[in-house]
Amino acid sequence: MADEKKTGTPTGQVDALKADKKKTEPKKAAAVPNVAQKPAGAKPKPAGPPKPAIVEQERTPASEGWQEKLLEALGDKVKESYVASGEFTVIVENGSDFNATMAQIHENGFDYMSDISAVDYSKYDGVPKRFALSYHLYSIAENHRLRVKVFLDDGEKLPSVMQIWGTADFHEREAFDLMGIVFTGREGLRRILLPEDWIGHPLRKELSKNDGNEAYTAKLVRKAREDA
Amino acid sequence: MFKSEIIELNMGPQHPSTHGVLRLKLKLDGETIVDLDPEIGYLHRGVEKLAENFTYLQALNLTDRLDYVAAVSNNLGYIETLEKLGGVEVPRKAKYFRTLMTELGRLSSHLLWLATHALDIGAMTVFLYAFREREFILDMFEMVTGGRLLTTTFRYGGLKEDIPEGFERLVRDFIKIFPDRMADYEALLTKNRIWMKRTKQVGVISAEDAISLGLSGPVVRGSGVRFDVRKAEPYEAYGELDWDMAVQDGCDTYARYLVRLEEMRQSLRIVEQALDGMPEGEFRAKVPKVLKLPKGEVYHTIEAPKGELGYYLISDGKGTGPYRLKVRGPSFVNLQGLKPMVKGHMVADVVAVIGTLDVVLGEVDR
Amino acid sequence: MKGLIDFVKAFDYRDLIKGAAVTLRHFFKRNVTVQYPKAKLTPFPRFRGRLTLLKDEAGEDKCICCMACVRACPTGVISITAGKKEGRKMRFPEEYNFNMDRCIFCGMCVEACNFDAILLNEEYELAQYSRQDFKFHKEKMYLPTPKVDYKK
Repeated sequence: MADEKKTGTPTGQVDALKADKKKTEPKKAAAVPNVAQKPAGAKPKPAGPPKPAIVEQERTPASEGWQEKLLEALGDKVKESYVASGEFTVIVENGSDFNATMAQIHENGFDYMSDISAVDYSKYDGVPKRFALSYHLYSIAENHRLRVKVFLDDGEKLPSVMQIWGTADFHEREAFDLMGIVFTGREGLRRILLPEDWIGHPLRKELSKNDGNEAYTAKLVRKAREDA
Repeated sequence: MFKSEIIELNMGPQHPSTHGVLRLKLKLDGETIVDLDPEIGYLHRGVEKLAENFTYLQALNLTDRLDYVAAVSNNLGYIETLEKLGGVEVPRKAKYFRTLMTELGRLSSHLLWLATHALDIGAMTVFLYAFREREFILDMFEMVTGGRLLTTTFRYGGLKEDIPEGFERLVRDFIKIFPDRMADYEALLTKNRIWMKRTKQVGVISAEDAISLGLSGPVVRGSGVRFDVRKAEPYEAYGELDWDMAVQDGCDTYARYLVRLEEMRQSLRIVEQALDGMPEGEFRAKVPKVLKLPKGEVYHTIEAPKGELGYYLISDGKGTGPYRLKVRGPSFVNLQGLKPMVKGHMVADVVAVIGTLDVVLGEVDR
Repeated sequence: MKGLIDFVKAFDYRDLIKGAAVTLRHFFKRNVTVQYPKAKLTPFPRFRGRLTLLKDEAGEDKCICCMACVRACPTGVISITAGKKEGRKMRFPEEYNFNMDRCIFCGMCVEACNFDAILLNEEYELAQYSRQDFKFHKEKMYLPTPKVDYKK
């Protein structure tokens, strides 16, 4: 029972924090300099009235030799490519030849996989599909970095790249665990960080940071009552 | 008459030599390991989800708690990621000081590794000596940041505060005594027959396997792969300083031990050079008080003591916090090397291999 | 033959003697440890201890309730009720509650404060006997810290 009490207070506090944040966030830019009573208070004002435009990261087309060579090798498998903040990004499509594309990239020297990141873009503007997977690749011999991005709809499955980069095992399990993306053609796709019987995929944007915890606690309590 | 049977054994999560809450499901044939399955997540705190609810500055506190024995490196990686997206130029003094602090962090992390690794294998004395030297470094951290372990060191655009008075003397004292102390560790371990028997030809992994499994840091350099982010993509002041990458061809636990010892020597070199060449001037660039970043994404990696530490940051351009922050923890990926490394070895060797991988569960589970 | 050489080599104890010499040398060195409850170390000035409210020379609160610290806190442990007082232009904290239970001592509040009204002091012995003692109200938050009576 003490546990119930314990979880009660933090959630209350967190909710209060959240509500507080919501209230203050839009005002923040104007409120902080006012309080500080600095001459800088005049600064944000001109930007204030005409809706603060969203500054976009600058994107340029591929310009370096190795980038063009890679694009040539991949041909029309690449949907879009650009360089932003010095990082080369290639967007490919999910499909039956996804694995062949990735194998081709591997043959082009990208033998080291840094990371697979799953992103839920449901509250993001200007993105074609809900989810995206970013494969961060690196070529140890030539010292090049590459991001391969693939967009996915809700429930869309993707072939696993575990055969090409062995390290994909944990990364794919993590993407499945936290974001609910299903990979085909591999074994042992199960939760890695959360308990096996956890409900939902916590990194999805529709879930708040407490939702999964509450649902899981409720489930455990229910189970304990049934056992008793 | 005699029937052999494969038994399952749980090692951890409450095992002193798993360095945290790591649970290994071992399949044993006698005392030989035939299969192994690491169960992780006992320390999962949802750092990535929490970061989405925080501002950029508040999320810095979360990075402290990833690899909590090398918090400075985590801070640096995160702050550099923000700076890459924001496109801010950091003053040179801040760059040098960041390099210095990160290398001190690497020293402290490697000292902790050496201490616990030796303790696991059975050399108690090294544990006490290494912790004594680590205390020096923690004192320096306390002097600069106010925190010993969770340092929250750097800020967007430079440093939080200027370098405190008396810091240089503290570091110089340390540089003076440390080579002798290193010699002590080496006298205790390097040629010791027990140490060699426990580490040589244990946890062997070839260079190809190491690359395919995405291993990084001293683990991959112990297999003869010349891959160090500090050399490949020099950040901060690493490009301007003179130091060597530590590489060994042994592919085993002993080789990785030598790599880390050599790295400690090189770190000391970097610290000394950074201190000598510390430029004068501003310690923080002019940045707005409330940080807003342009809409876009960056992936930035640095060489943390455990390996390649990457942050993947997505900003939607509207909020004052990250839209998505993914952490590529080196320990998380390096843990995948455990299975190929211990297959065919004895149970006692698992302890040695966990030690040589230098996993920190705070980073594995996030 | 190789076996014989290995056997002879096994009696070459130089590696172990070298190690033992290091330990022996340390036997005569000075202690680096401190006998804690009897002797205490002083933390550095930037040490991040318990949150403290500061007063100016006139004995007035420096805090003007701009709520910057409340917003900056990642764990939400600070709550302030602002009040008005005669003879003071700025608002003053009628209540300043601080829940040390959940404080992570990151110093974000002090960093956010534009008026140097709060401080993380140098105390590190923060253990208490009851959870209620971690809830700090305005009166308890000034320096020096009220002493807790230790009862047996």
